[in-house]
Amino acid sequence: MNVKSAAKHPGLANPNRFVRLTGIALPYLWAVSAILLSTGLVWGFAFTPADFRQGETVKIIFVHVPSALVAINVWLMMLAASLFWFIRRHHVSILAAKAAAPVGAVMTLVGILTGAAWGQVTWGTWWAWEPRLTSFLILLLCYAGYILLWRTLENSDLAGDVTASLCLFGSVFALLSRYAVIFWSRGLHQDASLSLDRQTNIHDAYYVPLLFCIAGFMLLSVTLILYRTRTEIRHRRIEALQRTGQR
Amino acid sequence: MTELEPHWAAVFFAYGTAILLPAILTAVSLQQSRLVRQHLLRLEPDRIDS
Repeated sequence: MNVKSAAKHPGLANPNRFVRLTGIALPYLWAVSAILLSTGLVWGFAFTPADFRQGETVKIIFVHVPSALVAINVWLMMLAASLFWFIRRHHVSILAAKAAAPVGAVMTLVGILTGAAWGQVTWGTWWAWEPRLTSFLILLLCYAGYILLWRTLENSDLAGDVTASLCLFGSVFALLSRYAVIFWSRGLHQDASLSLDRQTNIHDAYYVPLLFCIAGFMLLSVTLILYRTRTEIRHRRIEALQRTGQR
Repeated sequence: MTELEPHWAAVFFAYGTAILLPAILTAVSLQQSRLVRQHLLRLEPDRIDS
């Protein structure tokens, strides 16, 4: 890395620095996310009481809420990275968005499947075309479209521009799936389980393990995104070396 | 054979999905990273940071 390149790409926008710094942080991130996840999941599954109305089904909250939260937040992170790409043209930012898409897609799928299992027992149906569920399904399709666009377009700068545009469009559904329960009150889906106002939160017996699960899912996603971004940077390097070798 | 209560069946399905899918993604990410790193090391054997 020369001085000119370092000045052009300060901080983590410099690929070499990104690989070096994440290489130091990743072992700790893997360890902390494993501890948080195993604590939260075991606590939620084995040591929380059954709800007086929902019975044991309430334990699904410990996987459904965190995965849904992460699904929305990963898309918003991709939006921020895409805007950064549009403004500053830093390749690490768009590669981070590319690396994040499969993580977000998996979390969206987990959110939909765990919600379907919960809905089957409590609502009597796996699926309902109501605002939050529908906007979440569209978010999953946006993730799929985003991943497919990266696979289809060969020019990486063009792929960055097109996928960043899709990211702007998909953000409507990411925000809609977060706020749909406020916009439309007629849906089957309940209101948000958590809020900064403690009076409207769930009981403490569920609240604390849920916070562990949310922290664990969030940290696992961040770790996976950083890890996958390193792979994308190295892959881009291989492509550059192969292009130079062909000349 | 005793049938599983619907509540517990739903809980097992949800936990299974929430653990299995991220685990598969993690395994795929680790494998991809290993392959890309090996490829890069073949092209640039002296590069310490790769």
